Amino acid sequence: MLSISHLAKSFQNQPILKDITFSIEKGGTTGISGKNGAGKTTLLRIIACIVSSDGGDILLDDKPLLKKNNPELRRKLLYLGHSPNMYPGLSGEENLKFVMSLYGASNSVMDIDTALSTVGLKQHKWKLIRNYSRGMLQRLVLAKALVTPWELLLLDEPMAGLDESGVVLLQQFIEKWQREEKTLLMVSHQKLWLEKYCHQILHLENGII
Amino acid sequence: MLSVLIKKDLLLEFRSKEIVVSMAAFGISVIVLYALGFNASSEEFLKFSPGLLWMMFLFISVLGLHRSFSIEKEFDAFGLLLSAPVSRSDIFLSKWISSFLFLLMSQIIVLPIFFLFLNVSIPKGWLLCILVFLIADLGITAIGSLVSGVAMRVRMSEVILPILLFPLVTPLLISVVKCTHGLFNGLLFEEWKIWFQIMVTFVLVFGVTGYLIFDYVSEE
Repeated sequence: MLSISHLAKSFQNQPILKDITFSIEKGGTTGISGKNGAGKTTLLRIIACIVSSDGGDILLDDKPLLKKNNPELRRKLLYLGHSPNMYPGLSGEENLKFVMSLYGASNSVMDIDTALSTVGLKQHKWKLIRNYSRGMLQRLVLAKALVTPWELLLLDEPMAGLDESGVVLLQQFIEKWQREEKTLLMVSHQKLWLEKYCHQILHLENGII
Repeated sequence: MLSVLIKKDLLLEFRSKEIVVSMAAFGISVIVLYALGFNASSEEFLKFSPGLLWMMFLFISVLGLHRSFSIEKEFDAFGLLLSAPVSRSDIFLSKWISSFLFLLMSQIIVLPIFFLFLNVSIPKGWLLCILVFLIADLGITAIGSLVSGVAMRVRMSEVILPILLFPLVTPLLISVVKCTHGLFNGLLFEEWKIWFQIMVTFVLVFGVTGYLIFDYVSEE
């Protein structure tokens, strides 16, 4: 489903990713482990088209993802990052509505109320998200994955900020997505956690997989 | 998709009112400063008021543009736009249109105070005056949106934005000052037509350039 070859990225002449080559199969769960600063987040943000690469290719369903003006190809992937990637001046409900509009998602995927109930935020749906706690924001980020029709989910340190019940919720979601044979690419420095859920684990060190 | 992005910008501004209010507050302060500080007659004001007016609008545009793009940096909301199935050109257009609307709103508040405090008569050809103002606003915000897109991806964007914007916008500003001078002094359109044409050219060039290259400047 996703094929990456010879991907490279430097920041201020410091190479972060040197020659990244790997591929992931449709329906599989792949984990990327590595120390802090190894470039895991950068790699995910390049795949999500947020950060440009210095070289290399990424094919999503055999189509070049890094080609400019490819919004239709980006519809297939959803990036859930460190930051909420949402607007603090909008409520939880408004943010999810906006995300759904961007992805052209109809309520048939899951309606917003159900998604917010599932992540335990229904009673906070009118609250501006700048007033959410870190854990609530992370739950709202997970709700994005419930309302959009993604085919490849990019999860960056998905457990960060979640309390115990939030972690259980995340695990339930991952198990559900795995049963539905959805494709997941997760980044975490917790190798044990990755080993529990991933079919394939790649270790990123010194810019190389 | 464009309407979704513009609605989001307008909703955020409708809720916080921080962009238009800060632009208008700054504009009014500058007008009061002009009026009380210069202590000039209305004839004297007529000579240099077009320059003062557009200098003020340039500064309030910077305030608005900076805030409009800063909103995208909070919680890394811009990352959502970049990774979503949205054309980057649409992101540029939405920012251009919303910045234009914010500038227009602040001008609606500030301009009556300008005419009142500086004793400048409203031009007889006010329809043409509105057209000139709209085109100039489109030009400033087109250049500003493009430059802000570049500046927001770097550190100290509040410093980078004016450094990049002011030189680029100077030819447009000279043109609009000449047009406004013609309007305020009741000159025939033929006498300042060339400046009007330059202004329109700027809007077209930067509008099209922004639309075409925003995909390349928006990524980190």
